[in-house]
Amino acid sequence: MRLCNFIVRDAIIPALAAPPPRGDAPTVPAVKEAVVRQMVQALHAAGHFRAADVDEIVGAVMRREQLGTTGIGRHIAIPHSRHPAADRLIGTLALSRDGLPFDSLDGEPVYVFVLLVSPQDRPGDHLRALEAVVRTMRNDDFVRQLRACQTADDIWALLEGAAPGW
Amino acid sequence: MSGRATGGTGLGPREALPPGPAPLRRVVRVVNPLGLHFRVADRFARLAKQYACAVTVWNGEARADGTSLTDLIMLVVMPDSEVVLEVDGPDAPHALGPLADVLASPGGEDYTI
Repeated sequence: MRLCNFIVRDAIIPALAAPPPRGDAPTVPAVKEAVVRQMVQALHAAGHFRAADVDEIVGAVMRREQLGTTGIGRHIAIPHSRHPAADRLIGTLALSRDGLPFDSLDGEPVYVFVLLVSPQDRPGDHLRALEAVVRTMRNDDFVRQLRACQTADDIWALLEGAAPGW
Repeated sequence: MSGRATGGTGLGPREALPPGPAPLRRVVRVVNPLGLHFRVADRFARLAKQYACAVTVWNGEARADGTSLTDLIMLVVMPDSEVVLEVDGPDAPHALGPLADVLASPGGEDYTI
């Protein structure tokens, strides 16, 4: 499986908006929710999920996040959830220009986010998508090129050009 | 593969050490309906790091460093499949059971998320 098999092109976010300030500095959960909400909204805007499902999907991803961070280190996070609104595995990719706190395993800020939403009855697809993200993001050269992308089209071209297993 | 130091023994080159016990292996069926998914892999890796022994998980020919969450995710272990757990080191006998339990655990978790 390759990232371009499940990432929705029109939902790619080349530069996440800064999280809204709450007091002196946004808390990590607030940052997480702001990131997840932008990504789920992008999927909705791209024609996936009804508007009425957005809050529920954001909530499901956040409940999953509370069970353990999906910030896997090396500046990558893979927030995800299973949800009945998904009739197939889909996802989107977002970049943060400045890096965001995400409780990552290595304590480093996250610059690359890949959100996955999958049906509840397709665990194999979910496992294969996670594997594709991890394998691809292990390539430092790929991640460097990805973070240098300025537009969604740049990102998509990179994903399409990436060999399987990159 | 674990990348953890073995510590100094003062015995000189590795060849001078007496042979240690053979690695311990156990076949484990992953009964979790989501397979070896992110949370289980994370739990397993955190536990594996608590032991001094090398921990390896085999899925067919593919192998993972048991202390690495990303290695374990890349094994793509499907529900109801079998893996081989291998532990090699001084505390391997103590590590085998608890680690196998994590792999074999149905989880009792919220499978909907």
